[in-house]
Amino acid sequence: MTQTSNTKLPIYSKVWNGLKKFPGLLSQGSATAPKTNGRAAAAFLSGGVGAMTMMIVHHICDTNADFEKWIKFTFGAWIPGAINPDPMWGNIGSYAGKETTMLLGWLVSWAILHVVLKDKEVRPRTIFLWMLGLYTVAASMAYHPLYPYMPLI
Amino acid sequence: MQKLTDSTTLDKQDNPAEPAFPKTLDIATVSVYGLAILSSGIFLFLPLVNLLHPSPWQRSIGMLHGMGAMLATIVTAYAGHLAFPLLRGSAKVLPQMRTLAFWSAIVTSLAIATGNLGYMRYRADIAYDGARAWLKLNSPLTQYIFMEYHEFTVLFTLPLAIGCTYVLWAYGDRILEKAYRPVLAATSIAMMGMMFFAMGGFATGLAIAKVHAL
Repeated sequence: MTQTSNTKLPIYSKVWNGLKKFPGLLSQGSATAPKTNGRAAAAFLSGGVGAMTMMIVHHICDTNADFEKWIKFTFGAWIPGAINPDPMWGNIGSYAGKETTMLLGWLVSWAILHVVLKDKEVRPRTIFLWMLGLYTVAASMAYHPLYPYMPLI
Repeated sequence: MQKLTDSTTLDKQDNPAEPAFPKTLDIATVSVYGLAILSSGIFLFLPLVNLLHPSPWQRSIGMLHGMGAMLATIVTAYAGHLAFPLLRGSAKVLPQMRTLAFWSAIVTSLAIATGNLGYMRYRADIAYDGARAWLKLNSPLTQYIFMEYHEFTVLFTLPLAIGCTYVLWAYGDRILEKAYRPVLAATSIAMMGMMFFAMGGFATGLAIAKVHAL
């Protein structure tokens, strides 16, 4: 859009157009794109790895009370409210540790995959299969085929 | 007989001395904008209903999380919808997509942070009417179906949003070139996935709050 036509716009359109380009440095994008798709593959696959890590930890926690306690105190304690003795306010409990394992699984695997894949051309099928597969399996792992329903029997 | 669908016939002025009746296109435009503003205003008002709740935790934490979740849902749904023109290679939406992915990451972080605050009180003791304990006793499927899905899948929005922000920035305008089509497709699908998990989180969160508040 030219400067002349922008000055004729109503104030709300000017505000909206400004918001769409904020922050300006980000809206312009990088001038030099990577030559391969490896960096993109690392960015997308690592999120799925983090999600799967959390869901595996969640399943182990629900079947092993000692492991759940360890996860809670070792990985979750840094999150405010993870440990709180007040029964009226409650606490986040082992969920704080599970969140942390997702964060660690995601960021550590991103760093590793970035270094490994940054100059490589990854097959598109591999990117889509692993990205969609990891997130789909992780989402379905919110449900265990047996243990959540045990109290209902 | 006058054809009702013929706007040029309807817009024709019979008596030039009378004030001109607005064109049907103008009436339609004002109606569409008016309805959009009114309905979105009512929708955005939804979290403020928490202020009328008898529970002090729902009035405070519930409203905060409601606002955060509403904001995250709107921004990620807007980004997810623009992923379709992006997938088709629209250069026009590209600068906006970069900032939208960034703001999606910010608002989903806020929604997760306020969600953690709400989750504390959700896990309060049954003696203090904690929602989780009450649901397990009275409506266990709400806990085992809605809450289990809600508490984990909403977190997936954050790596998707940050991944999209990085890729859209790093590949710049060249992401639209033929050589980078798989990258463009993966980014667009990741943004749609982010929208899916955000909307799923919002719907399940509302369902849980409807059965038992904080």
